[in-house]
Amino acid sequence: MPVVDHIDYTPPSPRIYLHADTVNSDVDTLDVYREIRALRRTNESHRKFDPVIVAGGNVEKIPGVSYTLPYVQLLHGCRIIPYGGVDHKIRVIRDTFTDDGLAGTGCFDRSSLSVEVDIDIDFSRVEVRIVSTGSSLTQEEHDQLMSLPTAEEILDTET
Amino acid sequence: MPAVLIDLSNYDSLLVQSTQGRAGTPDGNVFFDVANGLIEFITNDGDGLTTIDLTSKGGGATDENQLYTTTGIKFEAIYAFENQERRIDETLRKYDRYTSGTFKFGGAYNFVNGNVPSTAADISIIRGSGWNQLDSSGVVQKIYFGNKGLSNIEAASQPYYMLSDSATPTLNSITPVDFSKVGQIDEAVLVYENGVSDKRAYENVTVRTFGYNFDRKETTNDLGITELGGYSTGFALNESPHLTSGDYTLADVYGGAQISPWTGMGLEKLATPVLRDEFSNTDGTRLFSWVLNNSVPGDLFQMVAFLDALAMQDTDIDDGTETITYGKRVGTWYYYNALGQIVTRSGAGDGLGLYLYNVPVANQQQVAMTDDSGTIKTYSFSVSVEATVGATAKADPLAWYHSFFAAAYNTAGAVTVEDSSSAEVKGNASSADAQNKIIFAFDYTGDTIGGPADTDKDCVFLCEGDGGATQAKTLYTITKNTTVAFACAPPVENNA
Repeated sequence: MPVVDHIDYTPPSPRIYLHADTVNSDVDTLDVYREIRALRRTNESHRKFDPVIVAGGNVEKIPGVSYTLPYVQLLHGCRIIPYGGVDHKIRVIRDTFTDDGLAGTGCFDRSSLSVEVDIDIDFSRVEVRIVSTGSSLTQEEHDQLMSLPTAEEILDTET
Repeated sequence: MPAVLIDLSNYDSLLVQSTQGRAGTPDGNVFFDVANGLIEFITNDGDGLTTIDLTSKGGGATDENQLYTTTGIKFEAIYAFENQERRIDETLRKYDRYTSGTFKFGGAYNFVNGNVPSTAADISIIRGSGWNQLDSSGVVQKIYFGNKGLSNIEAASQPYYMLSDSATPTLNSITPVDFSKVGQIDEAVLVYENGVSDKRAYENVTVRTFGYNFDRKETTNDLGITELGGYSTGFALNESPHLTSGDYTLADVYGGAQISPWTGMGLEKLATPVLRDEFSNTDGTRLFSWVLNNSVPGDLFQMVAFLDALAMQDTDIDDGTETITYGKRVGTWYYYNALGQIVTRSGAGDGLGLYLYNVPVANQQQVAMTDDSGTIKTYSFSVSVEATVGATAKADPLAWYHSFFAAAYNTAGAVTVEDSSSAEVKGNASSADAQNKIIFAFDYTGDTIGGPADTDKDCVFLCEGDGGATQAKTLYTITKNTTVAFACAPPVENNA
């Protein structure tokens, strides 16, 4: 489904407008990044401006096994504006922050909306592990994996 | 003891009259063949007379014969030696003299009474003079014009000369003749033979050694001599190491073992001149009848080396069918102007122009081309902009690059940079060259899209991937330099 409806690059407050398909759904800002990345390739009008969103992380820690969490960063004062056509709720499932010191819901600008949009930040804060399917884990590997805290446990610990 | 030039200072101690000629058993190095009216100079290196008895001259019985073809003997020494021998050798007095002097310091002498050098080697060994050869009636039968080099000629270089009975000859029809020895010129050439030929109107001497700057001097235009005579004249013929051609080997550049890029080069006279309009202005006809094809292509200096190689060939160097042009005979195909630029020209003496195909952007400020109207055409100041986008972007099939002028960048009015052919600078990063570079020519003097012409311009270069590479942006300034190089290499995309 499309995630981005359109982008207003106008400095100093560029805005990314989410698509109607994001209503009451999970929003992965990495998808937002990928869509904009593709737009800059296919539509030259997007290239006239600096990129307003970048992605990072997903750096390999143990070759083929574990990676750091991916993240998305909004640049140059950019914020994301949820779809404004209907009251709804979105769940942001990616670590997202700005280059001017905001994170989570701070990355969203609802000031121009006349509808009510609830934003739930809910993403895993542990590393990404690649697990082979087909029960090829040894008992030791299985036990190690199971001993790791779940995302909920980590969230509970932090709160 | 190294071979020495025999002149007035040493003739009396180094020359000995021989009782037999070189065909017999010579016992000296000068033989007056009175029976036949000939004189022989019997040399160490050419005739194998390595030693002579110099006891009568204060030397040893088996001293080295110092008469060599390489160093030679000055006519003044021949004249003085004959004087000496006629003083001490009454037998010689019984015969007419061999020589007479006209003007010692002008190198002007005569062989008289029909007495002449015996062979071509006995002629070419004479240094520092021209001379007339008079028969027994005092009528001039031959005239030898002395050629003396005044500047540097490399020891291994082979200079040559061309003669004509016309002061304005068609050089392409004159067969060049090598001087008898390599290195510095000091030799007389036959310019007149009674009833046979008269080429006293024109001579040029030329030296063209690959890797050195070529030179040619003409008795008409350079020396102002209207008639060549039996005297010696200096030619300020000079060669010096070429700035660039010395980097190459002649066998690589021209001939059967030619290698790339010279395999793609060829000089051609066109039946219909080609119009070239990429120059900085529209002066002149911009028509070129001569072209140097350059299909590989090679750079400017490789083309120059090729033109040098052509100018050394006494064969047809026109790949086309329009002319038969002998490279060694005609002029050279370029020269350097005061700015140090290479300026092309037709070497054929037809007043036409020469166009070089595929001059790399990086060389375009180093060359000017003469068109058929004689107008010298130059390229706009083209800057070769070289952006290194890196292997990651090059390997991403969806990665792109795009360059904007910085002034309006980050606005909807951002203006894309255009290259010197007015093409927008944008495209796929995969089109980068083997060094992962995107290279384009920018018309520094002509571009007005990004601001006033002939000014520095700040620009932005973007290179962004879409799956394989992330994003990179580089600010750069196009300055009036041959090359502006920078890197704009996005790293690997971890979130494809």
